[in-house]
Amino acid sequence: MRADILVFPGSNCDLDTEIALREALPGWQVERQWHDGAHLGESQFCVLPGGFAYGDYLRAGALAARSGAIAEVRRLIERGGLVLGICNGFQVLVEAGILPGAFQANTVQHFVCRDAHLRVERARSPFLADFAEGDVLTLPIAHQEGNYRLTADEYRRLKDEGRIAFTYCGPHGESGDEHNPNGSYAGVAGVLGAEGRVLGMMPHPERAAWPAVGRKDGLGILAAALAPRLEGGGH
Amino acid sequence: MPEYRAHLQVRLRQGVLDPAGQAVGHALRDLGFPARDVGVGKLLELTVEAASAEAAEAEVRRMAAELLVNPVLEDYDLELLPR
Repeated sequence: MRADILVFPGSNCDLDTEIALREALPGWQVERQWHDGAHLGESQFCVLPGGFAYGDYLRAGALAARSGAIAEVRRLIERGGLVLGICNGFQVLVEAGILPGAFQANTVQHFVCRDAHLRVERARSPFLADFAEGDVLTLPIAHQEGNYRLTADEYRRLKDEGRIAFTYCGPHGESGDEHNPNGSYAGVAGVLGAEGRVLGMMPHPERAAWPAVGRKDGLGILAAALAPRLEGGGH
Repeated sequence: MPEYRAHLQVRLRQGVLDPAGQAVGHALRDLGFPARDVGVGKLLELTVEAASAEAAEAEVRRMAAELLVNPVLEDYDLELLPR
């Protein structure tokens, strides 16, 4: 079994992600691949890591989303593979049209770097196999353009389809603007692709994968590839 | 083949929150200027080769749709000048 991490010029969480994936997926081959010429044909799980791909020029994620590697990501999704976009990787998936919505600068107008509490929403996805609805996770966030925009109609449709994975919340799962660090619509922190096999999220699970760093809530998300698939057939 | 210089003025769509514009507006008012409804956008410039102005415009509008402008949040005006 193999997991790949795509590296773009300006990615900077790829090594952390590799180390965390080795922890989460014992026995798996874990590789980082430069986006140009990347090949995901042997992969079951691809992560688009955090960072500032192409310096966030034009719009965050816009240039990386037009890389040839994204065609490989689409093929992996069609084959039934798992794809996780973390922070800048989430922005890339949105710019590529693989996930809905758009990103703007945080309403607070500055970079936000701190722990955030996340509520696990009612959603069906292997990425959430370790969690139950209402669970509260604590993961670090670190972004300038994390203000995730959806129209009211898009939000309702995603909610109805069980595709809202996480929302920002207080330490006990309470919702409210005071717990929303960046102005995201309805406090959405992570969304799923149509079959639950693509997850985009602003918080960083790879920075919360060991007790040694004080957090390990991210481990369960990264171990998603070990969970039974939605369509059966194991992995 | 004739060359054309394209200027795309990209701005946030009406009704989209513009935190940068708001911040700049606050700063202008702090300086005593009577500024309201400040918006922050961007200007993209490029040269394109095309058989005619119409063909150049069609090409630049394709660029806008495929990469340069995010239609979820942004609008743009296009100005095209022969070189």
